[in-house]
Amino acid sequence: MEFVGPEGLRLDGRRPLEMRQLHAELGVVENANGSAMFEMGNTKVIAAVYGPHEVHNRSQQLWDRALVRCEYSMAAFSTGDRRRKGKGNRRSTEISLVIRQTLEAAILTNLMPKSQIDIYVQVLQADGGTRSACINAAALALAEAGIPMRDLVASCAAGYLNGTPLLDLNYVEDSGGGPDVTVALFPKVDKVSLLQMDSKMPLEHFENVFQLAAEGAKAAARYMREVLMENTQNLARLVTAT
Amino acid sequence: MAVWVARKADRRCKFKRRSKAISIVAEEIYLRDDIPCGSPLCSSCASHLPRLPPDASHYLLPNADAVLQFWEILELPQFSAVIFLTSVLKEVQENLGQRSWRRLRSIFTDHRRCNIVFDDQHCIYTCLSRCETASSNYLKEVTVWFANHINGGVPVVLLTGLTSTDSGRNLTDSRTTVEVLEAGTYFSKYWNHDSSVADLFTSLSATIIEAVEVKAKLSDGRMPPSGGGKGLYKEHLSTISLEAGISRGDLRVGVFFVNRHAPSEALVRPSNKGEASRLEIVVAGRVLQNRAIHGDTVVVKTCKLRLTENENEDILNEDVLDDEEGSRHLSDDALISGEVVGILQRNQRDYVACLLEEDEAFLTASRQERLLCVPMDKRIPLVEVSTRQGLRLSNQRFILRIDNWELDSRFPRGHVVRSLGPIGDLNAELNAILVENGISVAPFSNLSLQELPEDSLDNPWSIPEEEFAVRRDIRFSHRSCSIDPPGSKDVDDVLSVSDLENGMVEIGVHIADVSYFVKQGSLLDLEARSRGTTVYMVGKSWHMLPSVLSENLCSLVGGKDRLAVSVIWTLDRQNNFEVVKTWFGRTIIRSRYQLFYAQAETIMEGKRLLPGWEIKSGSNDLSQLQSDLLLLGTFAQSRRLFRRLNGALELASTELKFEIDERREPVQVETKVELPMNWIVAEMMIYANACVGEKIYRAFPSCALLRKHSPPKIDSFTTLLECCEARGFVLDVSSNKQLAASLDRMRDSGDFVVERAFRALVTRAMSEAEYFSTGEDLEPSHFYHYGLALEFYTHFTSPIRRYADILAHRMLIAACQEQNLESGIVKVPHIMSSIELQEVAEHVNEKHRTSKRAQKECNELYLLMFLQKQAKAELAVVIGVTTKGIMVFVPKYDLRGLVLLEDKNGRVILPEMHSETSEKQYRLIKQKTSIKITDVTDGRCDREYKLMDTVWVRLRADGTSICFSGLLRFLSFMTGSRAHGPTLRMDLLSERHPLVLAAQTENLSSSISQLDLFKPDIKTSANLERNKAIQAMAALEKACRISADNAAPVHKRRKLAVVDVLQNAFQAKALPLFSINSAVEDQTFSAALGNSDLNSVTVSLASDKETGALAVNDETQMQLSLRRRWQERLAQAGFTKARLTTSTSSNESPRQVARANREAQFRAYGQSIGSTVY
Repeated sequence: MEFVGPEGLRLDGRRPLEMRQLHAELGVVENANGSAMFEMGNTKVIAAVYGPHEVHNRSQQLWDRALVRCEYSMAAFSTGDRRRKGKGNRRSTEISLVIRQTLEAAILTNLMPKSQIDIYVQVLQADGGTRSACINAAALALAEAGIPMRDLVASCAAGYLNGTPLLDLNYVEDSGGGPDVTVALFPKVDKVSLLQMDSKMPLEHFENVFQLAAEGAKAAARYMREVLMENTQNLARLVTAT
Repeated sequence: MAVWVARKADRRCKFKRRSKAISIVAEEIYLRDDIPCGSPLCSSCASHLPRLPPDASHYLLPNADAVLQFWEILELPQFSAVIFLTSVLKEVQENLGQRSWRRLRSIFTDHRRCNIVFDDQHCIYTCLSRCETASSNYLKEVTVWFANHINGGVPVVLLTGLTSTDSGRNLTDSRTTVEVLEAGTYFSKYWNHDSSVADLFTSLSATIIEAVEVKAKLSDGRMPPSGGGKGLYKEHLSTISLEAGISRGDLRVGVFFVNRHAPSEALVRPSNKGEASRLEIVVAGRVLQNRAIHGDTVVVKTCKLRLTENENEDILNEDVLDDEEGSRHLSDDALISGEVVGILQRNQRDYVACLLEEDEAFLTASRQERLLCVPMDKRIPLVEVSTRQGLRLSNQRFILRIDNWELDSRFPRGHVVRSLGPIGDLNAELNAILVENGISVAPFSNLSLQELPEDSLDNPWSIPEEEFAVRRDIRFSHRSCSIDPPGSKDVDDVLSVSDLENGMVEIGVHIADVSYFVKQGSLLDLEARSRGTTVYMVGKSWHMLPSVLSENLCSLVGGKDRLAVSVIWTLDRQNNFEVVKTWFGRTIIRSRYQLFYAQAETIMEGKRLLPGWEIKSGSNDLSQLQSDLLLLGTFAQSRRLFRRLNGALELASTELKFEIDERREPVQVETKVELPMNWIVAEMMIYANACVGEKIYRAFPSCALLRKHSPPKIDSFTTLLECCEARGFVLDVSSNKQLAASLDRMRDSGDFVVERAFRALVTRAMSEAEYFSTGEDLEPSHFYHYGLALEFYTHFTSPIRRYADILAHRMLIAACQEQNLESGIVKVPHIMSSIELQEVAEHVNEKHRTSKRAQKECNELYLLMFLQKQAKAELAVVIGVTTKGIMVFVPKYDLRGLVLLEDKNGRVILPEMHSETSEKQYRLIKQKTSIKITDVTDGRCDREYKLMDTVWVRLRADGTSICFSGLLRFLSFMTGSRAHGPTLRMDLLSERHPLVLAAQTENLSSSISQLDLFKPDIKTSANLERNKAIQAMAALEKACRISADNAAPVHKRRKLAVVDVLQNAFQAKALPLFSINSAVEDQTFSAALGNSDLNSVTVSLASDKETGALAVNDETQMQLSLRRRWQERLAQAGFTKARLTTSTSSNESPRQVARANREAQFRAYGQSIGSTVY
């Protein structure tokens, strides 16, 4: 299948190095300590953070740092008629683990010993790149909850199809059989906290694709910072108004 | 670069074929304002490279109907400035077959054609929601936008399909006018002057209208839907049931092969996924074939059927020119029969055809008629064409395309594309060969010619100054010469030698720097890529590059400064010419001498040149040139030996050379003679290729273009092994080394015709060498070149005539840059991505295959034309036995064929001019490895033909009787030979037939004429020896005559005389070593010697004191190995000479002498290797 047309446009009209539209909202779940909704094109993810609070299961309590738990699930309606189970299957477990590890690296857990932080991520609409969107949403939710972090975490995916590196694959491109590299990084310190790849790719192209994904993640980080800044300004305005 | 400006979420319904479900798919569309309109007239999109020509008479914007109906016309080279909208293309793709779509795709992806694709779906100005795109108003709006966008500089025409209703109404906008034209009006308005467009349009529109009428009738219910009992054929199964059947395993998928000799007989080799079966399914009869055409991918339903041996034979019992498919049936007695139930993929291509003779008789002027056409390819059924141009097509060859095949129609329907010329006209026939092989020979486009550097008389091209800075200048440091066939204009390789101060020597291979002129991605590059290779035919060639490049600027002609890409080896003279260093890079060279093979050969041997062969130089230069050539020879020899020890094969390839008269008709056929110089040059090229192959692989492990030759499949040796067994040879096919050794053993047997036949058959059994990208399969052990026994091999040495070489050049140059950067941190971008390279490699492979096939067909055509004038007798080898005849192979022309020993009435055919005038009744008795002709009355065996026997056959071209298979006469009737051209017939001749005698004398005279080449030497040799020499010559001629007198057993004393003659000749210096060599190699001559019962003879080759040739004085067993040993000895002598001339001055210590002797033996062994694989 042809993923990049003769005029250099992708199926949805983007050029190979362009991202989809990003959109984020904070405070979408009132109950939670922090929450965020993150959209990358048609992919829509909601994240809620509870904590830090006491550890429910005492046996899991860590004496020197906070316990971070993460639960990833997909809404039953998220994929149209492509059926995917919500949570508890192998894929969800793996993604939960990935998100937890990525974010745990950012959270200053040793400031909150013997406590627990719960992160719930749910995919409302899936169109490729759910992993990245989840990490971004969770990072925003953590920030909104005011949990101390080393740096923001931002993520983006890139692939390699028809001999061209493509940024931010959508579902059609994702199922094109090519490699899919997901990168999450700390934008300020410029350190990678997650690197995953499906399928295989010649080594000399990997560097390019990885760089591309990293660039994408940085762009996402800029947008996330903007959203957070706006949110903070709004809060400040509220405070001064009252 | 600008990013998208708006996003639109859209929903689309998607129909899933398999589950028949409709699902809703949400998708986003990113809209942008940076999509170029592609016209140079537009000011706002100027930042992008405009592709539409500014001077076009109009821009054409076809709608989906128009593209579907007339894409064949749009494919014509006249059509440029066509705007394809992506929404239109999407619709077209859904309705067009895959193959046609691929062809259509090349209309807009090929940059040379100046067509563009406009992404209207993503352009913010033209996008509309999906439901609106289908309406005709939408297209009109886009057209108007387009017209406004280019400010009305060029009129834009919206083309709608035939029978479209809403056309003719022109749209007027505030600024511009847009024409909306129906196809008929459009073509008559714009293309009336161009007959090829107009003709194609009329023939296409006729078929379209017809199809519409049929459809209308069906819907009216006036005609019963076909398939309901009345149709000739069963309806194909639906896609869903086909897919279900395939996945269940009931149905099988495969390519439909029609037997050339029995068109109603077809074969499918199923290739279901994950099924590596060697099953063959026979589909017999047109009904079961169910409208499948040769080459289609079909789905078959199988049912077991047992065919008896007799029926099998019937299939075989036909005129056989190349009986690959036919003979395969013999091995299995149970065949699986099947029936075609569906066609997955039509094999669309252009067919060459002519009208059926019966139809032609009743032609009337200018009336729409349905005519039957006979395609040239016998595997293709007759095609029905509805046309008004009947009279113009009569007695012509024309190109035909098949459209469809209805259930109730006996023949497929097609339309005529264009006429090629009258039947029997040489030009038309050659064009037919090109078309049948899919080779396009359009002239170079103007735009691509504009990219060429200027080179005229007033302003001759010269090397630009800046090139001197970046290239190594070896014009004066190296002594260089080119060696090519006589009269060749495209010289792409030059060899050079240079002595270094430290006693080392540099040898260089310099190849024309085509990649300097043909930049990657330029139109010229695209043109060269699409051609892939130069096609050489008898007396004419179609070049890959324009003649300015191929014959002038790139051609490394003598005495002119030229750009080259070189491989230079530094050799250690002291150390057996070991390669110390290999240098690659761009150079500037000036070839001193432009030689041809025979000339170079003569110079190398230090002979006087024939008149007209002289080169302009002092005698000093000549001796220098001689020693250089000897040096090259020695080096090539050692390379060859090296490969040989690793298992390289020497395969036979017969090249025919036709002498043609002014009407380009053949007057004489010859096989090319290979001189030692040929393989010396070939070996240098092979070594250069191998070095470059390794270099580019090391630099770009995942995207280098290499050439591999896979080991042959074991089954391809089956017939060969049978033959070997019959003859008592052992053919070990386990590895290339073993195979080479077996072939050598066979050579020692001394029967030359048989050996040649064997070699040719082994060559045929080889798999094809092919280009590939190393990214396909990263395992280096798969890159092996079986025939040449090399780890890495690529094509680098002929960039003027092969596209793959241009790519190799680019890669090499990139690899060299990488090396220059030294540090290795800075990565040089590779030339092409592996995927792209794979595509190109596949394309080039295909082009090579077709051009080879076309060349072969052309040679066959000329051979048959020649044989039509006069029949020829040739020696042939029996390679197969059937119940009714023998399969023979003619080594001289590389032909295979069936010789019938029984005619249609069952009477045995005896060889012509058989001694007894036979009133007797004979009968054929077939055994496993032989066939006997026995007398019916007394059962006495009269004649027996065993496998690997040599027989005389008469070759003649037959233009009359072609008949279809006797097995199934359904639908097939006599079509006459005029559709297919002459066919080859072979029959046996007895040894006393006048033709045989004539052939023998001809063989002889040609071998003597080879000796004639050296006659001037006899005249110039010393007075005393002169008489002796002439005597020797005469004796030699006589000796040849003896051997020609095959029938009589060769007399022992005569044979002694032959040996004597050679001795004398050598002593008298009348015959140089190589000519004795060639005399020995002369097949009949050596056959006469080799089969002797002579026990021993003393061969003494006197020492040639002047040149220092080694004296050989030895007892030789005159056994089977005579020839080989003798040759070794001669070679030893020859190469000692070479060694002495290159290292005379050094004082030789005993140790050195010993080493020199070892080297001499080493080389002598190499010399015994015959022809090359190249």
